[in-house]
Amino acid sequence: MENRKYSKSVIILFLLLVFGFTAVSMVWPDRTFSENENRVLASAPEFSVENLFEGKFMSDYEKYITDQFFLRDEWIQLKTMTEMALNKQDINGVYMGKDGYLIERHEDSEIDFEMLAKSKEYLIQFVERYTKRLGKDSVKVMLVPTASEVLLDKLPPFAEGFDQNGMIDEVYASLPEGVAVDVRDILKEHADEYIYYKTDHHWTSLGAFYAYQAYCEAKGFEVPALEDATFTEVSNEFLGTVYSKLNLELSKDSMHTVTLPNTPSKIQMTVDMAEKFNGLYNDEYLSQKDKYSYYLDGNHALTEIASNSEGKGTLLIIKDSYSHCFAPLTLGDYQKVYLVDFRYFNMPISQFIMQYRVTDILVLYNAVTFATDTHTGAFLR
Amino acid sequence: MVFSSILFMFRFLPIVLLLYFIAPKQIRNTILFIASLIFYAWGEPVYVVIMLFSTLVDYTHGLLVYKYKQKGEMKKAKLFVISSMIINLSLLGFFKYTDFIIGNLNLIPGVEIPLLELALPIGISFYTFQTMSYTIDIYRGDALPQKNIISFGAYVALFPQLIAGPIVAYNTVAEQLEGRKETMDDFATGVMRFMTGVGKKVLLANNIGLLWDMISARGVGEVPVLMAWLGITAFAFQIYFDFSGYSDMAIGLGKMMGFHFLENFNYPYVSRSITEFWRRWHISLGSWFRSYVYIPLGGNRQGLKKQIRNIAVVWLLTGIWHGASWNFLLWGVYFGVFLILEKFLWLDFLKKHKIFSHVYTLVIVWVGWALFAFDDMGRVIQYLKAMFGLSGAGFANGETWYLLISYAVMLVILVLASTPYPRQWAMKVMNLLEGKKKADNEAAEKKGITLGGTVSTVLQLAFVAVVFVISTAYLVDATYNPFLYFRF
Repeated sequence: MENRKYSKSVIILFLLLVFGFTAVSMVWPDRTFSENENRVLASAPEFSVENLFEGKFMSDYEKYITDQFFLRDEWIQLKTMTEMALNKQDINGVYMGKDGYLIERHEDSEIDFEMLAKSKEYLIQFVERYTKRLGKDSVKVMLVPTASEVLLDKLPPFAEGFDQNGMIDEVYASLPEGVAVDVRDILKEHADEYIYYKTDHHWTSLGAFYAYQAYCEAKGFEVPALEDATFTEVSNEFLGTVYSKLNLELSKDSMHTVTLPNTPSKIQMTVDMAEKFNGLYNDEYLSQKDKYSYYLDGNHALTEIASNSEGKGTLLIIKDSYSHCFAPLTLGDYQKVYLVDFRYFNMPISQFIMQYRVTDILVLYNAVTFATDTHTGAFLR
Repeated sequence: MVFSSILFMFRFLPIVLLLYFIAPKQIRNTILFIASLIFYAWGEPVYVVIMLFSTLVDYTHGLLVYKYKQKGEMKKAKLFVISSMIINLSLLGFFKYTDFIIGNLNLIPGVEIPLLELALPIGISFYTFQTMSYTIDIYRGDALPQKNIISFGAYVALFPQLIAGPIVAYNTVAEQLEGRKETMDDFATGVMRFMTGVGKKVLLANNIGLLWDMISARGVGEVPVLMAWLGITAFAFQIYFDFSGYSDMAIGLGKMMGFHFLENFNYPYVSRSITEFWRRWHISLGSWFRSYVYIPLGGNRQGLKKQIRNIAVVWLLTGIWHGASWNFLLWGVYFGVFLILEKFLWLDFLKKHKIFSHVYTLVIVWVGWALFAFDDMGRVIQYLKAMFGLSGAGFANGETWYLLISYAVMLVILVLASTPYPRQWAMKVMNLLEGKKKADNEAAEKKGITLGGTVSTVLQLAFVAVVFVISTAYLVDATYNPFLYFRF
């Protein structure tokens, strides 16, 4: 009799788990986009005889029901929690750092070292060419290490990955004297401050501010003190790209804007020669998942910033998104600031520099973007 | 289709079970047959024809063999057995071994034959072995022919064991094909078995497989000794929990529908000799070779020389069965050599030395996995060099410790789960909680039923439910869920 009771319980469990989950997942509404994973989810495949015999229908159908399984985000969370319980030091390429820091792990396998060698060569030639044309000290290069190379105290023991420091050393060593703006020391000095986001792969405005201090020093500008800068919190609800890899909320980030005494009062920003903004920020993003795009309206091929600045000359920043909270700090130093992103920019850069009378150039990437960028050929166009 | 997928667990399985149990008994085999064809065609929409062909061939051959056997025309009966074997082995040979043979012929200077580059039909090594066993069993008088082609088709295509075994010999399920009885108790045991299997595959095998993939992808000279052993340990656990997980799922699914398949794994890593290891690892393959190759060749009854020859033949075949490349052949030979040596030299010694025999077995099996893991002999040699400190990468580096810390908890779970102890401990705890006598439990175990007290029921159900739910989470976010038997 006892065995009968046992069997019944097992069968009830089976019905609940297998048939129950099946029923719920069948009636659960489809979603087109997953904000958390930042990707389009698979939709119901179209049936055709050809698709059937090629097996495409079947594999698409499988992707579809897996992507549209009910409570997808919660299931992924459960997986992350399990991995944490197993004391995995990194989950989905993310270190579980101290103090709620989620830090991206970059491995050698992500890097195409041949491409990197070429990128390095392009950059060197670019710097030499425009130093000659625009004058000594007018071209600067800043490669910013990501959190995993700076927040060493927050990493799990023995964590090591792609050697960003080594790469930066190599690039800097082959650049002409005075071109490199090395921000590594100043960032490490402030490693216990809030210079990187806990849930995003970017540095914070504070991190960018310290880097700006190093930039001023390299340019011979007056170096602003931290007390002179005004930080204004614009959000404390930010969950960034690293969070999305785990889908588990351990901490939230706050985002700030910075103004300096010489920050101009009137700013107009034009992106891709079309959309104009009063000021540098797009508030709409603050209510969305992708809050980092608040700064400079996110990634664009070309961003033009004009202002009533008392600075002189025109700065061109060739960049990735690390520059989006750096560029605002430079506005007081230049009449105009342009940002160019080679991932989207089609015009030959030589033509741009001539046409827009660029006087100063800053190449600003985080070390990992530079190491993985495949668009660096544009430096020589 | 594979079992460990959202598609199988939350679409295919519930629908098939529903239809199966609603249907009257007479048409259950038909449902099973059609369901199995869909299951197979899902991933192999064209190759399903080959399986049907193999089914048809052996269905007719079986009948013919029986007919001539009844008439006493043994020569003709034998002819049809041979014909069946030729057809099945040709199928297997054509799809699995042609490119291997061409590739090796091309090594001869002047020879340049283009490769066929055919994808291997999944499960072909499993179902051709099953269909052959059928015809041979009839010839030997171990089974009667199946007159109903649907029932026979259901046997060959039976989706629980179709793509990754166990290899079900016909005579072990002949009666169940017609007169099986689905019971609640069997269904429940089957459910528990299936869910445990899902957990083994998804939580244990896939997880540790990531570690192996990471280490095996590293370049020459970048793998220190400790990391190499960590890597091959990861592989050993991956393949064991993956394969035995599949077997558990197959056996469980079979049981839910009234089939009783034989066991396929029995804690192989607790073995104290290679001989014992192969009695506990992929048992259905071992017994297939034993009854259809080793014994027909004379086994151990025709003198020492012939026995050694027979062992050698079986292990060459076992090796090459696992994949058409030299490393698998070598892997088979490697074990063959140890089996012969143990048999004639040191099995007794091993029996007397407990700790040594465990270490000895694991080291040999682990080195074997290095042979098994790479189909490129160059990489096998590199990896073995790394394991034995000849790659010049030192004993350990920071990355080694990092990985070791990261997988420490997992490794402890894996070690425990590959021994029978956790099960025994759980039984003991439940006994204490329920105040039962040991003898009762042993009796219950023997009958294949599980303890039925409230406490133990709740505990067992909770455990399996947690495993199954977490497995589902891993499948929803399935970044890594490989199918390891595409070469078999």
